[in-house]
Amino acid sequence: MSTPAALAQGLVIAALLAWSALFATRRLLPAASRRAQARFAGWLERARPRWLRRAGVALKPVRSERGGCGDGCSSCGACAPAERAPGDAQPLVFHPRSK
Amino acid sequence: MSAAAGTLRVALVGNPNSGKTALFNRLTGSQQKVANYAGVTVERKEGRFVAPSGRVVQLLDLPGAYSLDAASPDEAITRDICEGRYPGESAPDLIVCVADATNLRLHLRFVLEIQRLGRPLVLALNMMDAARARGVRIDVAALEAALGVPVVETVAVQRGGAAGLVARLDAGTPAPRAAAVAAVPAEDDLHARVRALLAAAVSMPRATSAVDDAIDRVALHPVAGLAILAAVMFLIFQAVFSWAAPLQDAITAAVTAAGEWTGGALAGLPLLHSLVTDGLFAGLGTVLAFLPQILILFLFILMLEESGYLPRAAFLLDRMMFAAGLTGRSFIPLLSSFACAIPGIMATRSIPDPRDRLTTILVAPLMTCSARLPVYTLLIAAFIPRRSVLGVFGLQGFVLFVLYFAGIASALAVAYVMKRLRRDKSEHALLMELPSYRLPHPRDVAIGLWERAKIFLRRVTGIILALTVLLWFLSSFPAPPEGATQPAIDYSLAGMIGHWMTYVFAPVGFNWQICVALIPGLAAREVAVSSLATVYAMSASGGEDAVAAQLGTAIAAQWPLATALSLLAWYVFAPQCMSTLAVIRRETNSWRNVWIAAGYLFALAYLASLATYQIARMFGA
Repeated sequence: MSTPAALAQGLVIAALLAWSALFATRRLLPAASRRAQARFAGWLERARPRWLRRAGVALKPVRSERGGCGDGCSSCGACAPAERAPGDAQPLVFHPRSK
Repeated sequence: MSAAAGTLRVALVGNPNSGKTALFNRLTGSQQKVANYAGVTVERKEGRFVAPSGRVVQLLDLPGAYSLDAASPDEAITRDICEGRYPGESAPDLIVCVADATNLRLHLRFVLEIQRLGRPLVLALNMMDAARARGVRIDVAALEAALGVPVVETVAVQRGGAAGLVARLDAGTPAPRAAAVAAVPAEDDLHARVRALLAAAVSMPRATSAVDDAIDRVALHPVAGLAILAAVMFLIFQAVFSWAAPLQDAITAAVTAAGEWTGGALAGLPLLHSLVTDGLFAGLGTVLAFLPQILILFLFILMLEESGYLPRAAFLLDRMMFAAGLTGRSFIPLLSSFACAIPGIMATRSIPDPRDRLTTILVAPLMTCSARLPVYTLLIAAFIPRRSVLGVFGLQGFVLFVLYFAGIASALAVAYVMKRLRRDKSEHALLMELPSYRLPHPRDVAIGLWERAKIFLRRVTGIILALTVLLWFLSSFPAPPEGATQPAIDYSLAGMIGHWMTYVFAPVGFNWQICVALIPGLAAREVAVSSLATVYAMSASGGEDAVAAQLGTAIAAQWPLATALSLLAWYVFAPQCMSTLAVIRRETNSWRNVWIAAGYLFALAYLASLATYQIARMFGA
């Protein structure tokens, strides 16, 4: 195998792996990954070079739209508590049972 | 009108199953889920459309409510928005109260409650086509005069069926008439006022539909009704196996051909070749082949949802569910969990009693979600012979039926134990509206199937692809040492993890390959299938013969029957996916409930697998 072909193969695999790791983290740990992204963006914004500061602004996590909840697994965003609209959740509240 | 935005904010409210979401879809072009039973919409939904005059209308679709005196969390959302008490949201500029024209006796009561709020109001008489077909005559002008609010006719399921409502919205916001608002009587006299309105403007040949009554005499019969329900469920699982086979074979053949072609093109790049053939084509291709079975399952579910039969099933099963510690109201959330536990858990918002709601949330993951279907059908196709029983039905479909039934039975058993633990002796009467029977609309069913296909394909090209690539990496590195005698995957990270896990899972008959597949299966259950395909493809010689089509053959050759049965038992209880745990945390506001759910499901899965494996080995399987 020639060196350019080996290099191209390595790059393609590295890119796929990086995308997969990022995607899986975003999907499975949405709140934690968003916090990490915000911390990283904040660190970049404090950097001296202007282009790094711009990159920090661009990387800031944005609030995303949520879909409906009746349409099936992994499609509703219901598992991302940080993105919820205020007052949207209906958590259980227990009161003592009347005698 | 909201001055700042320059848009008209309109809220659609009304009794459950009056067609609010169908009207919302008609007006906004949205494709929110609709079905012929109460409690489909449990949260606020928002859309917008531009009226012919150019006026922008922001439309809110709210959960159905029988009264502003909210009995359940979903009704509370509607009450709070109508009264302008919803956090971060002002009251709507206009309320459109949607009423089922075939059942005004029930629906007008809520219209009066809304009118009492004194906000701009329009009454939409929906399902006018069904009302006319049943001989119900409504004098719209008389009703409008008696009520003192504008009344329009709509047929939400017909093209142009909302034109009257759009024209009314375009004509401006009607100011509430003080005299009409003052005329709404106190709570106790609302029914008398409804009777007066009906006498003034509505003539009905009979209170209920003659066709519905005739069908219900059989469908709700304590013996015949249960037999029909069992037959319907049985037919569904037979069809899942027998109808899907040709399509499944076609997909497998296409994936195999594409895999061989791509593998040939990448022959000079060994790592990329392995990733594409062993990872992507073997892993994703195997999962993709289950699309027809999932669509056939949903074809039946959608038709049942549209027909109006499901609330009848809830009624039939109420006594059994009550004995087990659930209520008939748990039926719809549990049924939704056959698609996925997440919407099922969300649907528990329609259960008024918090203890009943918690019990339903905790047992919802025991319902067999569609993500488990690929695991079941892979194992059944590999280990259960394709032959008929009693010359009528297929053995494979029968086994699938038994697995689904095992999930239902275990949910009832767990609910019963919870009821005993909390010493609950209270009774909760089931009050549930039985909608009119309706022929499923082919367009709605087709849209529903298309949505399911999109969801499945999004999962395949999203989370399943990502986890398959990661698993391929873990199965490929580090490389085997010099002079290694085992397949390379045995020396990889995934191989090492799998071998360590066998200390825990050997008693239940799981080999290291199954152990490896269990971990990504926590993210999405179908990934267990793609992971098995990848691991077995990489354990094989690595040639073109290791692609999708062979997974079933490979496991049939290498696993004893006892292991297959044990894995099936594991997936009946399958400790649920992480998304489900996150929704339990959100809906119960408690980590304790999350640990209870995960703990009891894992314990049940392990014990069931252990018992299945050991008993099967005793019988020589």
